[in-house]
Amino acid sequence: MVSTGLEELDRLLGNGYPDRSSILVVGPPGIGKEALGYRFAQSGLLQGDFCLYATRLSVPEVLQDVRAYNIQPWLEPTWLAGQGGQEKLDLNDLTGLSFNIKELVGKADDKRVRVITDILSSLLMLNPPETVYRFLSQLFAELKNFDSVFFATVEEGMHKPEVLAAMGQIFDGVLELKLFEESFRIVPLLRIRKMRGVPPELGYYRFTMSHGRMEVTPYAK
Amino acid sequence: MPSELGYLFLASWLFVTAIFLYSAYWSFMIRRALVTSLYRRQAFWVGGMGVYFVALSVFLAFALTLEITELSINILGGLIISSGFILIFLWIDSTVSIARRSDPLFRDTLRWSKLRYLFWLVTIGGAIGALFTSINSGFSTVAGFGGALFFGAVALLLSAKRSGDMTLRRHLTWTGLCIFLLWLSSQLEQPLSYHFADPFLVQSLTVPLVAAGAYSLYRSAKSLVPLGHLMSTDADAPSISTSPAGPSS
Repeated sequence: MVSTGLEELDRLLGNGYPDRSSILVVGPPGIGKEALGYRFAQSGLLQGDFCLYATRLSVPEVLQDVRAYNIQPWLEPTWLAGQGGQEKLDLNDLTGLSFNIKELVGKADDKRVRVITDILSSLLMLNPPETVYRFLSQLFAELKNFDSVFFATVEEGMHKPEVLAAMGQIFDGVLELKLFEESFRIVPLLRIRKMRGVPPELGYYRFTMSHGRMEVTPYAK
Repeated sequence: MPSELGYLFLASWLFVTAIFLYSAYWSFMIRRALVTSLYRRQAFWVGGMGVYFVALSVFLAFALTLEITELSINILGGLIISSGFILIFLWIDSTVSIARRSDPLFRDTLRWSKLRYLFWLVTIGGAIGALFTSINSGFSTVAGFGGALFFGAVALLLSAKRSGDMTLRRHLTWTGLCIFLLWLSSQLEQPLSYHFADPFLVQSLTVPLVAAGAYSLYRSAKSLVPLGHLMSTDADAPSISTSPAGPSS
């Protein structure tokens, strides 16, 4: 198992994400999906893993976001970014993107690999869903040759529900973050929709994220 | 002592105030639940505008009903109205910039990145003019929200069409509609006052438009993020339903 970088989430998942898996985090914009990615990257770097962060944003923009989440210490991953990374990310060139990811991951030697990305929503906006599914399926097949975990976030409410449902099918694990309206308040909840090696769970967990920490408690209405 | 129409006018403004207050409440609740600064800021804007419109509505309701024309009230009215010019345009400007990021083609809607400077000048000029008009001739004579806001509303509605983000698209549509309705209500006052002598009657005719604008602000707040509804009281496994982008209300 590969630690998520958050004790509470590790406990929930039975020690972290499965080895050689692809994880999708679905949630509305602004709920904190990226924080899970940053934590996952940092925990990997602290353990000596090779971490590739693929983002449509520029490196300074991501670093600003990291600072807002108060994630410390921050070790630099390998960047495939819109600007300022080791390689420039071009969302319009899926073949080039796949090549760049494989090339950068190839530098990991025999280290465990963690690929973290926030580009799925942008890819789905720019390409037909079928093209994105095909791109991901091929990428996952190639990444499985490495000891790697692929972690991606996607925006809920930005794409058609059937697109997200189909996307969930090709990932080994899907975590769902949601905001629920309950009476006159809003409750952020988390659910493990599916996870390889973990029995399906129907229950929701209430979560809070502050100062780089995450607290998860079983939700009872 | 206000007339019967005056009381009706007061009641309708208080109703509008309640809708604005409810919009502000939900915006701040959503803001509390979010962690990303961009969306928190947008929620803060909607909430802040709700609070501003509450202040404006309460002021107009009481000052117009009680027909207060003292200098201090005119200065206060002038400050509230002119600050509104700037706040609303700041809100539009920030929202159009966010909308552009969600357009897959990154289009510059209505050449906003360039024309915004011109509209800023117009808005600031309008705000200063409104303040002086209010002090010299009374706050009730201040001209309605200017063309910059109309242009902003059009830019928002167009940005909504161009946005690739379904949630933001709804949020932008409701925001644009809110600004358009408030602009329209402020523009209708002058032509209506030529036909009807009673100022309460004129105001009462435009209140439904303001109420529609307030409702749009409420929908704008609720469409900031997709919200689910818990359907069951089962503590272990609550069944849920989630609307793809905001609740139906």
